[in-house]
This record gives sequence, structure tokens and C-alpha cells, in this order.
Amino acid sequence: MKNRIGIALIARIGILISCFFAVGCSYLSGYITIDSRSKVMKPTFCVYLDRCFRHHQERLDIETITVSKVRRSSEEKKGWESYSPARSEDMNKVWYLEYKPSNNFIKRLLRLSPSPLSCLVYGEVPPGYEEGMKAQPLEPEELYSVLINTYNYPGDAESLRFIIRLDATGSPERVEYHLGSFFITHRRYSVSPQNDLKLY
Amino acid sequence: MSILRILIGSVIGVLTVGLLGCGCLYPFTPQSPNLYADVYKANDLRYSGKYEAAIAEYEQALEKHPRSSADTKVINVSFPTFLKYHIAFCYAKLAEANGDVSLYVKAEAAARESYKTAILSRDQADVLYLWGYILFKQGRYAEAFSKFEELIDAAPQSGFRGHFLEEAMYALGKTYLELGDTTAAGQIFAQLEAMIHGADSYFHTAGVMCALGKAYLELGDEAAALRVFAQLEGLIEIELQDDFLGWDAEGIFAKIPYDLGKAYLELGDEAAALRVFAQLEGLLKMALQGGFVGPDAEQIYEEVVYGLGKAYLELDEEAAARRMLAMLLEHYSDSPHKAEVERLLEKQ
Repeated sequence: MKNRIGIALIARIGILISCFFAVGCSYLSGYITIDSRSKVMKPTFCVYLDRCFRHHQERLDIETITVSKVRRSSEEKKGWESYSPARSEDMNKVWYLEYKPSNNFIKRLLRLSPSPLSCLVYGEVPPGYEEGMKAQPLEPEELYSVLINTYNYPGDAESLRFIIRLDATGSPERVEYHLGSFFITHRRYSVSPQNDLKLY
Repeated sequence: MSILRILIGSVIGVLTVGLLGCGCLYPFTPQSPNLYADVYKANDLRYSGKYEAAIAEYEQALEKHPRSSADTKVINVSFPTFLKYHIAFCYAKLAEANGDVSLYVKAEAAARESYKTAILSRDQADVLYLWGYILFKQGRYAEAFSKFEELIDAAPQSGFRGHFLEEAMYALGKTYLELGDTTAAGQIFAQLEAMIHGADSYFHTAGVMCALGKAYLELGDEAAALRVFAQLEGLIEIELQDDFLGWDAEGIFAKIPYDLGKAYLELGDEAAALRVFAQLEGLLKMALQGGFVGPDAEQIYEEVVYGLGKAYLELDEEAAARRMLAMLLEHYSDSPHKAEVERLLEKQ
């Protein structure tokens, strides 16, 4: 009898877990975007729950944000090493901000301490946050990387790269951004596309 | 007993409701387009060679891709870069398969759009290589040359290296050959040879090494070709000593020694050809008897076993030919060569 109940329990849990994964939500991590209403030279970075649930725009809170200028010479390596991430020394940090909740227990209990935010404007320091590194002016046509640690949520959000483009007159015109893990050569597939594009 | 049952029943009930709440009934609604599901589906089709169906899926994903409003100055370029690249790739492969050169025009248009939106140098390198490949395949060598050259010139800045750089160098050398500049081709091939000299990875380097040897033959530099072939033989020997084949048993695993043996035959060096074929036999036995050949490589292995049998016949190595033809029947009983092989075996 106990065995039957045990089997039924395991089977039911198994089915339900499978059901959860079957909808395509195999992991839950945050992702970063740039708000479409951002000013070109002062982008607004937002962090949301896994892209699987993107349409709900469920926001996560930002604990730390790091913006770094990527030195082009050391961007991710190609070839068989193509999936190794850029080394930290290849990044030149241009802004760092951290959420610092009040140490006062009463304030925290009464929620008088400012809450962490899910969107931050480049260079602006909202209440509750402290600047670990003052924001340097962003330079057009340079590639930047954004990393966010989320508050009260496991794991880091995937990174984001962006570049400020100039128009024909040399004025900043638009921000183009690229989602952190969305490369042409995808890690889901071990074989590089070039394997099918041999000239021999 | 009944209390235990109620307790267990309650646990099941709570877990069921909890999991339903967290999982199946989580507010995920399929009516909202899941772009990533389309992309994964398209990738699966593309990697299994169903290029037409893959293009349709990529196009569908492109339609679903959330478009930036006209007044926004913030643009997500990840999707157009990725999707247009793979559309270009599929059109190029379709053009090859169907012999329909008009598809290269579509491929090139998609590659151009992908390149226009790529902001990461690794993506730019991928697109440049594909673009050069498409132009090369159309016989537009001067234009292909400019793409491969741009790609290699950017290598120190973009930091790409390894196998990808070897492929790009080979492509540039081949383009020089097609343009009739044998001196420049020779210089590029020499650089490539220096790059792969001392390679200890058969799987990563064998293909380009074999191709390089053949390219030297095209240039009429037999000594250089033999130098590269000797190095390749060394790599095959290393591979033979490795008991673990695993995922290495792709088509390249058998095809390269076969091509090398055939190249030696073309050079009239029968002894070298027989030496390599003996190595190849060892590899074939390990791969086929060990069950290491994946479904994608089956056809290549079948052709190699058949080709090796025929090559042995040409070399009057009847016993060896019989071994190979018997191996073909044993492992590939549905082979299109079956009737011919049976006839050959009977004749002997």
C-alpha cells in the first residue's frame, strides 16, 4: 500500500514538473533591456524576469549595476574558444551603483527605507543607492557592457551590450543594444556554423 | 493506517496544488508569441538540414520580433542580426543543394542586412565569413576576397582565432588562387601552415590540413604538400592511439584519411597510400565496431568503406578489398552499392 502511494506521489510530481518544463520555461533568470523611451546619451536599464515570461514584464529589483566599456581587441574569442566570456580585465568600468538598504532595523521594519528599483537611468543615483564609481560620460560608437545583480532573487541577469550611434552630422542618434547570450554561434549547438561553410 | 493515508493524501494534495500554482497554471499564455520557441524550432530544422522549413520559421520569428516604434531611438539589434544570418545561411545551403543560383541573391541580401545590424565583433566575423562564402560560391571572387580580407584584418582587433581563423585563412588563399594570384595564395598558405604547425588536435585541424596539402598541389608545390600530408599522418597516428573516439566519430574522422590516401594515389605514391589506408582501416574498425558513428556520419562512413574497397581493388590488393566490401555489407546492409559489392565479392 505504502509503495503504491509512493509511486503515485512520485508519478504525479513528475508529471507536474514535466508540465512546467514543457511550456518552454527551463530556467528562470533575469534579463536586461534598455527602455524604449530612454534618452540616447542616458539610457535607462531595466531588469525583468526570464524572457519566457517577457510579455508579463515582471520586473526584478536591481541590487548592483556595472557598466563597462568593452575593449574591442579583447571581445569574446572566436573559433573553438568562441564561448569563453570576455575577461574582466578587458572591461573598463565606467559606472557602478549599489543598493544599500538602511541599517536601521525600525526603518526597515516600518518600510521607511527606500525600496530597490527595477529601472535605473545611467548616471543617476536614486534614494537607497550609493555610487561605487561615478558615471563617466558615455562615448558614441564605443561598445559598452551592462551587468546587473538582482536583489532578493537568485542568480544574475544575463548581460547586455549597447552602442550609441551617430548620425551623418556626427550627433548621437540612437542606441543599439544586443542581448547578452544571443549570439549567431549559439552555445545550444556545439558545432560552429563554419563547419558547414567549408570551401574544401 | 487511515490517519497515515489521510496524511499522505494531504501531502499529495498540497504538492499538487502548489505545483499547479507554480508550474502549469503559472500565468504563461501561449497566445502571446514566444519568439524564442520559434528560434529554437528554426535552429533545430536548420541543423537537421531542412533549410526551406527553417527559413519559414526564421521569417516567422522575424515577424514576431517586437518592432521598435518609429519614434524610438532605442533599437534591439539581437534578433535581426541573428535571424537574417541564419536566413542567409539557409538560402546559401539551399542554393548549393538545388543548384539554383538565384537563391544566392537572397542569401546575400540577408547577409548584408545581418551585417548592418551586428554590433558585436564576433557576430560581425560570422557574417563576414558567410558573406564571403556566398560571393565565392557565385564566382564573384574579387568581392569574396574583400570580405575574407576584412575578416582577417580584423582578427587582431576582434581577437578571433583558432579553427575559425584557419578556415578564414584557407578561404582567403583559395580566393587568391581563383583570382590567379598564385604568389599571394602561396604566402597565405604558408602563413596557414605556420599557424597549424604542431597541432595536436586531429578533429580541429585535420580538415584544413588536408585541404592545405591539396591546395599546395594546385600551386604545383609538391614538396610543401608532402610536408603537410606527413604532419597529417602523424595526427592520424595520434588519433589511432586514443581509445576514446566518442563524439569525434563524425564524418571528418574517416573522410580525411580517405582523402589523404587518394591524394597520395594521385601523386603516384602507392606505398604512402597503402600506409594511410591501413591507418584508415584501423580507424574504421574502431568506429564501426565500437558503435561510435552517429546518424549524421553514417552516409560518409558508408561511402568511405565502399571507396576504400574500390581503391584496394585498383591497387590489386584483393584480400584488403574483400575485407572492406564485407565490412560494407556487414554494417550497411541497405547500401545502394550492395548489389555491386555482392557481384564483386562473387567475382573474386
